[in-house]
Amino acid sequence: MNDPFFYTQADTLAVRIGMQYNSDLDRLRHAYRLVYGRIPKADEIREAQQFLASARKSLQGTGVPDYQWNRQAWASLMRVLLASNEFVSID
Amino acid sequence: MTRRQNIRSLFLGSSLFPALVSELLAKDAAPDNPLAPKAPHFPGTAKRVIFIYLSGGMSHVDSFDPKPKLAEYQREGKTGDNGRKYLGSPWVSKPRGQSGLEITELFPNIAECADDLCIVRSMHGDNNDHFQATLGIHTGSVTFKRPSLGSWVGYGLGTENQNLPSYVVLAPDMPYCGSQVWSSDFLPGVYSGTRITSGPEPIPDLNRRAPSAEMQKLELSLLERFNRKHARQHPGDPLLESRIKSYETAFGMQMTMPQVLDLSKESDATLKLYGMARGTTAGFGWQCIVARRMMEQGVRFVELIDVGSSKNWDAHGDIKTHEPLARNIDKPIAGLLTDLKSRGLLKDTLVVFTTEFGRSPTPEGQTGRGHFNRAYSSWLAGGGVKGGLAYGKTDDFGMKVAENDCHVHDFHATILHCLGFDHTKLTFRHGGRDYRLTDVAGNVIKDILAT
Repeated sequence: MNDPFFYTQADTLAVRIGMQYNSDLDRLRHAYRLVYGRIPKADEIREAQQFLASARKSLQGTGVPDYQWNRQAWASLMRVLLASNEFVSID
Repeated sequence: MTRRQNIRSLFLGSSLFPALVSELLAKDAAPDNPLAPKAPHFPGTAKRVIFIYLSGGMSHVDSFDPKPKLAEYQREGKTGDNGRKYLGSPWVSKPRGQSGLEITELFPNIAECADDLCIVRSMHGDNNDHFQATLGIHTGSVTFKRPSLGSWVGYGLGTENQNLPSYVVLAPDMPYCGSQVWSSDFLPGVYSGTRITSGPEPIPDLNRRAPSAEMQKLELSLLERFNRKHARQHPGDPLLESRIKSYETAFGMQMTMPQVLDLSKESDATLKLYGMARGTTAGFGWQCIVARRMMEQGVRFVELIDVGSSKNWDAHGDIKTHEPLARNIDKPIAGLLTDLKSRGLLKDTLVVFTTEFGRSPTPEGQTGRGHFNRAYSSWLAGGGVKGGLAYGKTDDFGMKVAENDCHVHDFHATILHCLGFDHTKLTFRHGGRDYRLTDVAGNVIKDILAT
């Protein structure tokens, strides 16, 4: 998960999704479609939104400028999606 | 509700990372944790193993099974059976220690430890090529891919420290067959060896790259929840479980591994024992001292691979290429034995020293030696084996086993016995039948056991 290539891919995905949609909800739906090939369920949306809020908050006092928090939080969420067994393994 | 369930329910809903939960539960020897410490079949004499493997095939007749007749025949121009010429060893031998074990000058420091060594001079294996024989000494099979010895030991005993893998491989270079050598194969993936190289970043990508520690915790916590949910929909898949576990182990290693690899508190005397300069993060001395530190930290099985698949012990052109290779590992290994002994660790740590095959007593070209799987030497020390003993004999030329043979399966059976296992009962069901490390063979060499 700490591989530089992996980090770049997650960040690229976050930027791609961020450029295409304006709301977190639309971005989440798009991310799930791209990564898992399905629409997120209601509880998954809730969980992801909570995660994004916490992830943004976790950057307070780290020296990361606040205009980057959103992108960083999204990249963080994309890392989870890309590292998950649902994405990595085939049914 | 048990204590275990209680702890789980307390933390599972929170964002607190589940590794903390596992850490609390590890002390309960959690039955659903595949790495929890487990009792063997009977009390073993060894609790952990250091497995030193010399890649390429180290010559037995130039090291632990000296044959003065080879030099004599060469000098006098005599030939053996079928007009065979022999190549004498450039290294003289003499009796060592109180036991009087004959060891050559190739390993002068290890020779000083003769009274702790149990040399097996009657080793033999099933294949005379590097790849197959390397797998043979590691997995018992020279044909199909099978779990490594270190993986079987982790499967059987679990491990003491949940923040470190059960099986660590210190290998700056890749051996023949690469990571297949330490693969768990059909055993669950948690028992695979974790390779550590050397230098400033011994485990690539272990350090956090996320911009904050809190963010990494959030990611790992969400990832665990995703994966648990996914695993519930795909029950009975050990690979999914292994991936979940690997993130926990990696997180534990982030905290623990830097401490294990920090040699700053080692005394000058200790570093000297291993032949190391302060600040060194490479070389066989580094591998040996890290192995000792891993043993102290509760790692079950540490393998030290000396050199890799090239520039190794494969002395086809000139047997004297053994000299610099031996110089590189001789002092560190002797230092390791001495250090383990003085810390009281040698008595329940089994040290294994082996290679994939020996080298031919007959010359290849003028001064080289070919592969030789029909007879070679390995040694064991500590962990309940007799010291100062040579088990088995080869003939006067080291050409064939003359007495008390020890096949690779016998060697493995004996190692498992020291750890408290009946090698015929340490099995895993795969592809419709039970498998074991020793296939359908192997006899414990009782004569080398101290008790």
